[in-house]
Amino acid sequence: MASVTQTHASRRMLAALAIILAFLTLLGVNLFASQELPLTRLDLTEDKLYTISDSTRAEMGALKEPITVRLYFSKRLGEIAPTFQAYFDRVRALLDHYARLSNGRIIVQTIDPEPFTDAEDEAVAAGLQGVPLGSNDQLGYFGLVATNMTDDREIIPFFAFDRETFLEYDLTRLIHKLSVVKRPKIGLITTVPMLGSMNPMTGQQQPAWRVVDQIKDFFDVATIETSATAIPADVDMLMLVQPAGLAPELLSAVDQFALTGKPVLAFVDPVVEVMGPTGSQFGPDDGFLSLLKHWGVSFDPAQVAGDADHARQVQYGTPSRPSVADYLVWLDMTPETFDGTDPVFAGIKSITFATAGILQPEAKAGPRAEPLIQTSTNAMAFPIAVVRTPDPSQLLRDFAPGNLALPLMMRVQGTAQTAYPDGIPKGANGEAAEGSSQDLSSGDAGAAKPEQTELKSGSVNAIVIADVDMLYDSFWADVRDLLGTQFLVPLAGNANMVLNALESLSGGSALADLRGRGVQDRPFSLVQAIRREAEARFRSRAEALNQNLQQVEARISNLQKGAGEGNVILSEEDRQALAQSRAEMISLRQQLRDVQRALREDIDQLDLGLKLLNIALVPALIALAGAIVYWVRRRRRIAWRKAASLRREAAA
Amino acid sequence: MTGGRYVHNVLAIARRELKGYFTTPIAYVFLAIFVALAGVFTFYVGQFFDRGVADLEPFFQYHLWLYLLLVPAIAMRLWAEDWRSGTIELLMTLPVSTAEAVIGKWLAGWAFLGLALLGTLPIWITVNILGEPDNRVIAAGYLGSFLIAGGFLAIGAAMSAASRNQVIGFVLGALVCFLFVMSGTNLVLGSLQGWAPEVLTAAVASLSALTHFSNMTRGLIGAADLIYVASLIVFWLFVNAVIIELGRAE
Repeated sequence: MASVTQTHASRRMLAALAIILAFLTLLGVNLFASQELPLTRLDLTEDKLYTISDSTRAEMGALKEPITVRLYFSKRLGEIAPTFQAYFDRVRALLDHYARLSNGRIIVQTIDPEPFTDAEDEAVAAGLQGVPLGSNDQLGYFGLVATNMTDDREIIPFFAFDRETFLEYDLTRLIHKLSVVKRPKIGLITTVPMLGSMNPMTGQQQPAWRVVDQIKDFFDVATIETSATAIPADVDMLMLVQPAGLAPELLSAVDQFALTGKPVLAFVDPVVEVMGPTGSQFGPDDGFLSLLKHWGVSFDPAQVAGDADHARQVQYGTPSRPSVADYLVWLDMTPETFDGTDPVFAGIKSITFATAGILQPEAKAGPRAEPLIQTSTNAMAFPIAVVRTPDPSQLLRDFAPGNLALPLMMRVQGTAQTAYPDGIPKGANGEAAEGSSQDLSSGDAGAAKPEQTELKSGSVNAIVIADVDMLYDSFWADVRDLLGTQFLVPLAGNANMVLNALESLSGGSALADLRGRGVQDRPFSLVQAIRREAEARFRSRAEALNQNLQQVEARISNLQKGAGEGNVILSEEDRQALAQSRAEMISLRQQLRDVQRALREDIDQLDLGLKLLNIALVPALIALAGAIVYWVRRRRRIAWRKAASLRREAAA
Repeated sequence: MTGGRYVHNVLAIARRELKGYFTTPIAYVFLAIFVALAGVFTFYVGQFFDRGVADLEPFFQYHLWLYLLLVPAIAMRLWAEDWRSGTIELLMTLPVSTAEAVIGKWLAGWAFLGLALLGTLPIWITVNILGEPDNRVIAAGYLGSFLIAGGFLAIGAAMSAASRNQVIGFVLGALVCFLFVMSGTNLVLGSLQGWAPEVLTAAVASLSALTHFSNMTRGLIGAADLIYVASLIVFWLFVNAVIIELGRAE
């Protein structure tokens, strides 16, 4: 007996040992896999969000000089928040991959900046952002500092989760910035304070628009004042944003610049909304519009484009009575409205516009102007007056689709004639001179005069966009704040498209296929469609009720006023009329509420239906199946018992 | 023994077990509860409809927590019942090996969990009616969910084998599954800090079901994730087999 127990005990020991060994193997295998294979994976996402792009491969392969990347990560941060550890593993694995792709030109160093060490001081000095670690005063770091041979430095202050889908773009862009020796120079002519300005009311400095930062990642930007008389010789391309009040010499220089075939990206807008009440001062300029005409594009500053199929939904009205409606002149343009073959749309899923104007190709022969973005045919041109006092419901009432797509963005290529066949206008004559005569004195001074080599015609290479607001931060991105560090989460492809446009004009395409990755909105289109349809159905009824209500309210106030003017006692007739009006008012209000409820009714019904389908239907079917099986089995059992008892009887 | 015979035995046991599930109303109750709870979590806790985004994040987000309850409930009767009723003796007199029995029973449970997941397919249809989701990401999510369910089931099966009482089997199973969900979190790693070597902390963190599952629901099927699930299943089925062998010998 004792030996049996002994055998059992030794068996148990053996079993326990086997399990422990197996567990250690489990730990080891997973440790190995998590450390060594973090990038061996199948990327099933539609956009290939997690696969190294061709841009990155090309960029790394073309590196000439070494770049040192110091990746700072506090181990303690990973212990406290394992999600950061996983993110760090991913960043490190990606950088190691970059190092391989660059044939070792990228040197990756991983540093744990422990509190109160030199490493922490370095991290702080480089501009890395620390996050508090638990309750003590220590900070954790998760950022990156990259330097090239000439000591240029680029940093990522903190790897925020909100930008995780843009990780590869951020890293590749950073390496790109450090690797390019000479970047193309953009001459920027603008009347819009996109480079930052002083707010006259508060005296505070307004930051530059974020799109400018993004452009500066790839290009050098030099501002050209509107009073200047020439374009600096080292400018490779021009970006014109609502150019107005330009000195005639400058307009002529722009004309000549364009005719030499150098790239031009122009933005014109019937109304620059983001300038608020002062927006009317930022209207487009006749002089520039005449230049555009010569390039084959006409633009009517008195019209804005409205599109019912791409209108953005807005909230308006008073806080007590808010309404939601499609604002027909704020547009979310989607890929079916793009000229999909054009490289400017590489990876772009949506572009937003706010009160965009309409471009039309000039009828007469000249450069070829092809639309790059057009509205749907369910669109119309609104007169500019309608957006001065924005009223979404008024626009919807006035909407009469013209069954014609309206171009919002065009690419111009081909031979154009100069707008100044008679030489440079001398300020006072010519439509362009308006309002700029005071600049002439400064205009005469300096700057090489291009008269001798003036071109009468030449090949134009330009892209024209009929909106300026689309450049403004709030129309395409969300600025988020993490412990004082602001970072950008793009919601639409506006800035990426502008970068693509600049690059495609200048003949490059670095990172084009990486841009726009991860910027995708996947809304419930069915819900939006139902809402739209319900609003269209109930709009006229709601408006009629509102009008009736206003009339009744006016009637009541008249009756009451009558009573106030000496007629202390209301006549019986008036009293009755007042009572009747009040009853009518109450009924009308009730009806209005009913209409508002009905607006949501279809959506609520859909919501309820889907909940029933997903929560109740399948379980009910399963229960039914169970019941049927139970019933069949029970019948079988009864039949079997019957047969058995019959057999017994027969045997007996 | 030939491979064909091995597979035949495993499948025979799996078929018999799976059939066994549907002889009691409990299987139907479990299926119905899982589907209904998944829906409730998606719509009411995850705010699927009001969120207005065409993806299934609010759906998958709660799967692990649902499995914490459902999977041990499925697994608890895999072995505990056999110990109690003595049918294990019967099973072991059949010409099948312990390994075949262990794998067969586990496969039956896994297939049953697959059925439970199939019951949630209306949500996939729903999101496609509402908008244009990335269906490949959703497919990856379903795959991940099914794989993790298999891993948890292996844990539950081993716990069921270790106890002769279904309730204890359930509690133990839920507890160990919970540890594997939490192993990547502060709670578990925090307890290792200070005394355990770094490599152990990293190894324990790599065992987190949460991290691997969230990778898969984002549309990424990584080698590390597949290795994780496979090693988890193999390890716990091994533990299961060792316990059964031990029990038989005693």
